Amino acid sequence: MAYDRLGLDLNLPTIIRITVTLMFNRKRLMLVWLILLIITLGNALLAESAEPSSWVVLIVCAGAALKGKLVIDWLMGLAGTERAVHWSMLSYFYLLPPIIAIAWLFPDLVERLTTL
Amino acid sequence: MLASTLFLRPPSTPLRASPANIAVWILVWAELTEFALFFIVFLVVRAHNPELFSQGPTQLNTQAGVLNTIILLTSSFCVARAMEAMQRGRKKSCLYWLWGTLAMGSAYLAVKGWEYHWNDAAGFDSRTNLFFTLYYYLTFNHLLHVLVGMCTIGWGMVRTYYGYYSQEDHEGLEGVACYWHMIDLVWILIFPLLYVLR
Repeated sequence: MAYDRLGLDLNLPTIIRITVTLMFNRKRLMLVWLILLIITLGNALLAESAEPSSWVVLIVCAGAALKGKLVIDWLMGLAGTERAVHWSMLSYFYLLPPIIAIAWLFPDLVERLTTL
Repeated sequence: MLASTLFLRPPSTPLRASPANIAVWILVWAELTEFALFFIVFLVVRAHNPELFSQGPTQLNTQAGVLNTIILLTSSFCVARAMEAMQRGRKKSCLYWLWGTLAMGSAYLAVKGWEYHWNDAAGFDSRTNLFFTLYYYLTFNHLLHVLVGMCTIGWGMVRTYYGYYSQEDHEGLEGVACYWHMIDLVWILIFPLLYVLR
């Protein structure tokens, strides 16, 4: 009935397809949220237990990049949308975590480049 | 459909229009650029003061940082569910999820208040050293953005309640949601930078 009020010509297969899509959307949001929590807790555990090393820096930065991509694609809902906005948002997380990792692993280089 | 859901791949359908309007995206990009500049300043100052910045994170309350990350990720989930409810024309459900977002925002403020109090009790403030100056500058600036985000969520709730948004037309609410997600995105980088990396 609700669909009729919208003036859409919906038959049973279409209604089933829409229902299934929405059901998957909700499950996908839940899955993304759980993955985000797992990455966060993993990073926190790494920070508290592991000795500082290059691997820890790389893993943490990769985790941040992945979290950013998941939020942009699925929670913001930009997956499958026009590329201009989607890629401009993704570029933030494709650029900044690598910059952070390089600056963390090569502080001498950063110091040399920023000393007047 | 099942494969794209399980592997989190975008569906292979024609590209949809982006949510919200271009003005919102310009604002989001301006805010992200502002924080990117702060991050670069943080990295440069760290390179000149390595000892100070390797001790800094060990002096912070990591539990508060983790808790706030979980809270903000959950708040983004609530906003995404609110948008999904609106797309199905369920305004009541949309409002419940937006209330959840506001609750998460309030929880963030409470945890941040506890963290600042904890720092104060441990004898740390914005003048302790360069690490703490940047820590307070970044986190307090982010906190102000959370407050602004909560106000916009509240405004979106009022407009939803009075029926300004519908299943077909809810661009304003999409703008509110994008602003809130931006706040979460910034925290995703603040968390490793201040609390995790040593």
